[in-house]
Amino acid sequence: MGDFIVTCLQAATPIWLAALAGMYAQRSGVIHLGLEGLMVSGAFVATATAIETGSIALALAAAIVVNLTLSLLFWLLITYFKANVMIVGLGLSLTAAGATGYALVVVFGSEAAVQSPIGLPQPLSGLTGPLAPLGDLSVLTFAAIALTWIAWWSIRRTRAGLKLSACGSDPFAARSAGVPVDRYRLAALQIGGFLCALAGTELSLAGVQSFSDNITQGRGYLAFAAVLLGNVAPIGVSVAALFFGFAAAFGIQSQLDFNGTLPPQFVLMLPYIVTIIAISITAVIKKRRGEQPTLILERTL
Amino acid sequence: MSSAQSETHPYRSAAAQPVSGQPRSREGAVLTCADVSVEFGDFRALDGVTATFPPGRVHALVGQNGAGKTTLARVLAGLVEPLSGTVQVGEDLLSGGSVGEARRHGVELVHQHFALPADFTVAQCFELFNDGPQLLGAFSRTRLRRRAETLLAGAGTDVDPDAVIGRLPIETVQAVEIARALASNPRVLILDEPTAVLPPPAMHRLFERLRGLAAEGMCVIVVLHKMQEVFGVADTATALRAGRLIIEPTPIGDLDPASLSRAIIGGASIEAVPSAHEPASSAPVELRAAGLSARSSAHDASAVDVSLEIRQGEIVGIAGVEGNGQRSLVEAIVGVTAARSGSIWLGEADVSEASVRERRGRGLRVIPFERNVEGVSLSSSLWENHVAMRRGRGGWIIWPKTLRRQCKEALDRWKVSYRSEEQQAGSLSGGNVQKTILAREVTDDLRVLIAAHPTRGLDIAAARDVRAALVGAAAADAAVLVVSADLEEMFEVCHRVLVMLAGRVVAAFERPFDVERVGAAMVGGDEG
Repeated sequence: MGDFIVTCLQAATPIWLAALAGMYAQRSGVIHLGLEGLMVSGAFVATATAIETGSIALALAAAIVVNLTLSLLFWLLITYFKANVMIVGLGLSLTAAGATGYALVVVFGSEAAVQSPIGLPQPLSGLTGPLAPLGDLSVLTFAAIALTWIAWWSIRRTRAGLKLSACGSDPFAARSAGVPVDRYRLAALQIGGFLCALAGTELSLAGVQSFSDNITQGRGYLAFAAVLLGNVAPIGVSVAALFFGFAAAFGIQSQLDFNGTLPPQFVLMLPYIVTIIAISITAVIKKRRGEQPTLILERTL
Repeated sequence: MSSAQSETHPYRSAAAQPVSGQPRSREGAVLTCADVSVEFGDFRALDGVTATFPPGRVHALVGQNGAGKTTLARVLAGLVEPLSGTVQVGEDLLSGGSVGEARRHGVELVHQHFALPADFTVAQCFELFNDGPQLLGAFSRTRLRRRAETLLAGAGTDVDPDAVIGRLPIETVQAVEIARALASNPRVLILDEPTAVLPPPAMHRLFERLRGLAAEGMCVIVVLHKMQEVFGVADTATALRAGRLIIEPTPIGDLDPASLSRAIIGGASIEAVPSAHEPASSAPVELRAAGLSARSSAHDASAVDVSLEIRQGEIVGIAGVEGNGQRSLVEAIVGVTAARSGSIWLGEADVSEASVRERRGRGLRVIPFERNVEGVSLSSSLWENHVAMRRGRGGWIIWPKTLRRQCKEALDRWKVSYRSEEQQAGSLSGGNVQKTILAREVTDDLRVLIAAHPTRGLDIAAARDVRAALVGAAAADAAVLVVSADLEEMFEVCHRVLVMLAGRVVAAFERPFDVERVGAAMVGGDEG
């Protein structure tokens, strides 16, 4: 049981961090489909830096710097070049997937995977007894818990958070309140870039300590689904991400337990099926209440 | 202001003393704009506007639609950056185009359609507009609530600070917006068409408030549409036409409604709409709803147990504060929203279960609430919009040439000003968009016409044409249902007026109409 919970948390952490990134972006009025790309770029840069330097701190720092740069590019494209947010986000994801696969070959001469000599620290690794499984958790899982609280506090209990939310729900109102909407969007995307760097690092340097081509396997899109499923609320988004972690852990566990009886493809489908059902249910509830489906529309001047 | 005027105008006499009683930390200030020009693309919205608005007065800003009133209000509030020209508050010159700067200098703007996020609570809205110093501005819910309570009480508004904006009635949202604007103790308060959404009693209360604020020394600028309101509340009037200043701030005593109207319209006189003839009492009922209940998916109350009959040649108005079920009723009649109970008859046919297409086939036509969203596709060409709802004729194949010709004929008949049938509907002005909708909807087989806010946002000339079209439709023996917030318009064209409140028809009035009684019924004070 303890093992299972730890597996859930491990599976959830990357999605969780990326979902918080998506939550900030969507609150600011940017639908972030680039989470997948930022995760995979973070994962690659972290692994490559870890291999070259042998330092986890440098690996994290490098991943963060690269993702902040990519997020800045994303922002420039949608703000100054008025590019379509969805297209740019998808483009970022697809480009990053291709670029990291290519870089894997060019830098390491490998088409499959590279191993890192070091991994993320595990703060509770000294524990023994019934709490011993917690020792497998990386530092970033604990960071995710702290960051969830920070996200909740910053969104719900600060004026800056209110202003950020106003940028998403009514940009015209935000502008009328003197909020520099574009700058708030930049800030949200930068926070998102930072969080996705953590998510990517967790993915490659926590358990397996390796980077393989397409390491994210759609987790970024799952994180985006968690943003919608969690109703763009910090706690809701985290719960949704944890649920996806549970579904993934359940998949791993079921393959071990009833090997062969349950097709693994079905288990892999599970989180997506649940997402579709859950989003449908929330849509129906909203309709019953007479609310409009969630849409981000820009009121023009 | 002469003493004769203070006797004739209730708002002036009622508001001789300050209303809030709060100490004002900032004096009102004179607001000056000099040579302000604004361009949107190749459209010159404002052209060298220079005006001075002294404090302690209520200034009315008037003009037709598209005259630049809203643009000027937004320039003054820093929301629109002028191409050239300056704005000055008291002694301070603003650099322009910065809301934050304008607000710091004490200029607050209350928007026509409000600028409060619909998913925020009242308390959160106050915090959003809070300019107090703090890096992140951390707060506790209690503090947020307490601050909101204080500000609401100070503004004399009774709302639950935890209420969500999107669920509040529109009048309350306006009160919240005004309270949040007053929260920063502004020197200049600008209101963009605040009366458009208000029933008469609420309008009176608002005007009293504005008089009170001016008496406290604030500089109050109000964008207004109707002469009656201008002469009721304002100390000075300023008129814009086509982006130019026609009348600089002039004491109201030096103006009269007729000359001000003429200045706004630009000389051309507007013919009165010929009034509709009384329908024969033997005329058959063309539209009948019995015990109709429905709920629109849009923001509106449910329509509850509504029964009405409209005979051939009759024009019936539905008055009421917006959001009292008018939209649910109209959508149920048109067939966009399914009725929960009750029946709808078009002539002799029960169409309660019929599709929109079938109802249209029986001659039911509609001028929808949101002309730019439901009435036309702004990004489609005029001919595409024109033929969008005409189905069946000539089968499934589209013959663009024929359709373009039909469109041209119809648009010319309705005197729409357009360049070509290929032009996008979005490039037309509001009045011309409305006329293209009329050209499509009012055809020979029209039997029932439903017009929702048919002249909202139209200038005087276009509004006159649309009203004439409604009267004309009735003269051609159609039954006409008009939903409007504009009582004057209703009284001008309708034979009967029903008042909706909280989804029910609560009162019915016949000619001659009494504005006080209809207004009272709209807010539940009169059972008609």
